[in-house]
Amino acid sequence: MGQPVEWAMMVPTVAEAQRHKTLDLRGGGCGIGESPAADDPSGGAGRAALRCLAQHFDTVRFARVYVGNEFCENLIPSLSRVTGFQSFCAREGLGLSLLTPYVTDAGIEKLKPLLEGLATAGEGVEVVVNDWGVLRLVHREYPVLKPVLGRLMHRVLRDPRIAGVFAMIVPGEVKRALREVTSLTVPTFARILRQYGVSMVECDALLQGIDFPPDDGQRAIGVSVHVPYGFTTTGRSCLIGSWRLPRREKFAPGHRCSLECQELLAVATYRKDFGEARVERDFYQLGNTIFYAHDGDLLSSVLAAALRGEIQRVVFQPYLFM
Amino acid sequence: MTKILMPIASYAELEMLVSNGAEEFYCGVVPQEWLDKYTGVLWMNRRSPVGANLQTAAELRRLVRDAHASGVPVFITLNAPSYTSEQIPYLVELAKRFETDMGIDALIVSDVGLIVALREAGVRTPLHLSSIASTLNSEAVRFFIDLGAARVILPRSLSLAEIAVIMERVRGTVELEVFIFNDGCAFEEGFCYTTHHHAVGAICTNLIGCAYDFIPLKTRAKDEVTEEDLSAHLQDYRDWIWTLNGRGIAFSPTGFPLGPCGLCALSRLCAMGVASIKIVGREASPFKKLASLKIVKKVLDRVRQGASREEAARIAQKLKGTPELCTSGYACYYRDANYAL
Repeated sequence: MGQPVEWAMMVPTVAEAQRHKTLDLRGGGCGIGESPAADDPSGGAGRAALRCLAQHFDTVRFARVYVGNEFCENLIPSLSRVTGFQSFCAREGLGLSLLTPYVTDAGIEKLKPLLEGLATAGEGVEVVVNDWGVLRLVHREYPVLKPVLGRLMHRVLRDPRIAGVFAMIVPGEVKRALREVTSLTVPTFARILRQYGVSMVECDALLQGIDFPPDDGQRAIGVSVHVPYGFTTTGRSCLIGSWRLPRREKFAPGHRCSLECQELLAVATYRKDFGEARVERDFYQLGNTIFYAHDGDLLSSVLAAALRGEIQRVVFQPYLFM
Repeated sequence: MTKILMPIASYAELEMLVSNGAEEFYCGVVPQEWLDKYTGVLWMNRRSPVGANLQTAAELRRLVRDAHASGVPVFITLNAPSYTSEQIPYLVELAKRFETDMGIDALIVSDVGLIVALREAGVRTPLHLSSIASTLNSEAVRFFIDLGAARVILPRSLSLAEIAVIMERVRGTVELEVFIFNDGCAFEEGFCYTTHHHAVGAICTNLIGCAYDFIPLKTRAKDEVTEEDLSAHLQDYRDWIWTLNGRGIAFSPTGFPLGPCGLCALSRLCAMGVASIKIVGREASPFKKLASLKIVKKVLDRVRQGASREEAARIAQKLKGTPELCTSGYACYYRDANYAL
């Protein structure tokens, strides 16, 4: 069986990156007991993902590590934390990608020392940007860093309540539109990305399906897909992060917090009948963001696309964390 | 001078809104051919094709002509989060018709692919960057200035202090517009990839009715959290979302909508040099639009007459007539300007 071009892992600590740099999946996903998915707080999507991976691959050898956060400027890591990952990656011969969130001007100031530190260390480090301002900053001030357009910028429906229903009932033209990766297919969009030095765009696996343009060798921009969690929505008001605040301070955008997202996960269960079809979905509300878990079919479709060479990277997050 | 930007969804609303102080309009129109092709599932702009949008180009033409006769500019929304390779050429041609046939004063856009396509096609109509683009910092504002934006609409999730920083850093290079009245989002509007399609409604309002489980991720939380804590917190969350959504499209005892508002910040927004203050709700009833316009106009008039920050805020809260709601902070766009807190 072939391997996708590149596997990346998203884990919270260097120790976990060290422990799982190669996943041995022989025996239908053996080694799962030792995998980070054993700690999966969100109903086992990580474990299910490993079982699915085991159907396609004997082993997964990670070539890249992701550090940082895409959703909250309070979670921008310290320079020492990032350099810890950087040293590990240099030692192990792995690539490093710094995830960055959407930010206010204060967040931009928090990012600058990180970008400075990574840029000083040399070329090749990626910065995953989820904010046009961060893209402009990286391009202008830190040209040795390689910007990647983050999955928050893949601005398409990913609504677990109805995406599956739409996929069944809408006409073909609507379906195609809902599945298109416009950053690759719209020439003006792709041109701007190239002007800003973007070499890869990130996506979530979409519940309505996703059409990756075939890579004919001419495509200047690669595609990276996150599994087995997609995000649905995110914002500057945090359900869990407001928990310890006085009532009148709760949910104010950008409110202070004590990183309660490291302590509690909220799971909201949505149920609705659409005629004969019942939709029942768990929303994983972690910090300021709602995630959905991929089922086996969705994950298989991503892996199949990887095997066809339509995507260049799979980013595996064994369990939900912020 | 800071202007009042009003939503408008039909020609019939024009005279009422102009005579009560609307100084700019924004609206949308969805051609039948779009509806035929993409149905009600793929919206051409941020709002539902029916109810929030004008129904025909002829109605839009008449609206623009008569608004211009009153000295009021009209902006058109082309602000879906993204458009496909097939849709963009269609929208560019549509924008050309808006420009040449109607003299539209600005296009409200958010998609980078569309923005560049419009400029490359020679469309000269000024571009206003929609809040859907989630422009939360001055670098992002500059990114869109580089692409030709004449105005940037800042998301309502920015605090007054954060807006002031952006304003200071981009002053003189672009107009800034901010939200002032009606309707909030529990999430960042430009990063909420859900639909408000009538079959499901807004996801945040669904969350009010969902059953919640809280799963401790660490021992500390397991020891510290009680069911009562979380239950009370969840009730606060539901109340906040309910307020963001206008508390059931309710009105105060004084006759003004109960949804979010930024009137306590109005004096400071004007002093900063914000170009435009936006009242939300193209789909709202004419009654709600008029009531919203009246309260904003009354406070703005007092600010223009020299009312102090505190005075303007007191006037706003008195007009609104909901001291408990104002004190809660849950109806505030800009809580750092709320004098009741």
